[in-house]
Amino acid sequence: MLNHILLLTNQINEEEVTGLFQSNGKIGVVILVLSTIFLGLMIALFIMERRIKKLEKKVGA
Amino acid sequence: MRKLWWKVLAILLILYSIVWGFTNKVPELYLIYESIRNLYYHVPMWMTMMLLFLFSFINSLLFLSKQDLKWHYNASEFAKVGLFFGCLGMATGMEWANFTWGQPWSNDPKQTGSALTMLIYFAYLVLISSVKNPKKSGTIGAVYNIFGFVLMFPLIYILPSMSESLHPGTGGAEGGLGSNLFASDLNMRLVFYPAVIGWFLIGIWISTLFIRLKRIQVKLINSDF
Repeated sequence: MLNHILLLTNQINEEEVTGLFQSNGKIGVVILVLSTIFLGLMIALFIMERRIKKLEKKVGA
Repeated sequence: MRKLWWKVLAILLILYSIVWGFTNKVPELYLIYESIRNLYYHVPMWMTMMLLFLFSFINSLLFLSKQDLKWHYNASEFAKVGLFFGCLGMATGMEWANFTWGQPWSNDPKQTGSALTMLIYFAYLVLISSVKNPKKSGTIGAVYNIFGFVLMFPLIYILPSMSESLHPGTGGAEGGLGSNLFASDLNMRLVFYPAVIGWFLIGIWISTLFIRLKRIQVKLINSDF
């Protein structure tokens, strides 16, 4: 899917369009890893926000 | 401050910059090669720091004119989160420099300028915590914050652009990057600008969490739980 978008927007050549993780020097794996880390951190932020909301209710802020 | 939509937007923008930033076409530059993609991650850290310092500055001005402590607390929390992003920018910059400029620290004017800016703001945190009376701490902190913010511009922009520097967009940049990096490459700008906006929003989100926690703290101290 990613490869077809890249092909259509002229970022890669025809020969490079294979599987997501096999082509582009397995850069897809790096993208996956970074996205996982980033999303994990964002989930942590959401959890913090929820706890702060509870505290605010308790304190009456 | 409590709405969800801009937080989701920030996450989507940064995810876009992670996916597209690794796969889009980038100019071939001598010595830098693929690491030019760091532009999408390292530079937004600094820009977020400057945005948060701007908000800190505005809150300091508001405190001086309105004398309500909440502006002082906002100013200090924005400065804290700004410093956090500055540390990330400094660390990522040194990591990047290690592999492209040969060493993590080259006494490059922009490196030293940004380090000095961060020292100024660390000193701001020390200053406001050293004065016990909240209103006095707020006043002296706000005045210092204003000077610190104004100093940031000569330190990070004006002096480096006038002197010989390794950073792009400055006089005598070796390593192939000129000041037209930002102006000419459309592919890079298409990822860079959304990434900056995404990180701006994340920086603001983290700051709001700090500010809300601070307000809870103040409320608890004032009512002596």
